[in-house]
Amino acid sequence: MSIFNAIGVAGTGVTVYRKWLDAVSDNIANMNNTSRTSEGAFQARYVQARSAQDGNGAEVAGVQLGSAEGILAYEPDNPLADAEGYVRRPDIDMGSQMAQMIMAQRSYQANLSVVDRARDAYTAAINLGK
Amino acid sequence: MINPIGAVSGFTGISGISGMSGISDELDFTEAAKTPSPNTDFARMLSKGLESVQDAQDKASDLAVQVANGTLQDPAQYTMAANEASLGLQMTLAIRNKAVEAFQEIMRMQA
Repeated sequence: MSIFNAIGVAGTGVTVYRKWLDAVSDNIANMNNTSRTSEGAFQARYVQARSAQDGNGAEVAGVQLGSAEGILAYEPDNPLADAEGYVRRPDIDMGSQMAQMIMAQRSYQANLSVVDRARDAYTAAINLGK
Repeated sequence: MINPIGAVSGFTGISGISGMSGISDELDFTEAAKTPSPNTDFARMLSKGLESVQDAQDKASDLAVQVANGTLQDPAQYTMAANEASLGLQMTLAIRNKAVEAFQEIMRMQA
């Protein structure tokens, strides 16, 4: 961590964005879940990032959960529907999830680019005067 | 007044390298035993550097095992650790090559 610090710092960023990608993929996978109105809907996951405590890079502070209330949908054909024909669906916006996915993916790649450039720079430093 | 050879005495500091191997205690170099050489700091720095290179290698091989048995969640962690370890090794080699170069340069001086 101490000799090639830039690589370690970029690595913390990679980890944060990997967790964000995991959260987004979980949200998209469960987007169309239905549940009984007596139960809670699937809660979307939101990764909360912050600067690392030791001052080197970023870390995930925790995962916040979205509302369990969801949206009531009228689907009388659904076997889970209640007496009035309603089921509960998670309140997840596909567009927002896709936008978050692009941000997470590009940021993941950006951190890996930092690793690449840092490695080139360090290699140039090591080969100095050869 | 001015002793031109006096400047050469700065080379005695090189005896501090004996601190690297730890054999200086047994051999008891009189000069190294008398005064703490300024180069013991260098030797300590060098061994600390070697330790951290070794740590990087250990971390990379641990992650390689995790890749093999499928417990690693993020493959980038491994590739980054492997990069770090390879950079550390390259740096060690560069330092060693420089040291050997310097040694050979000194050996050529007596001709």
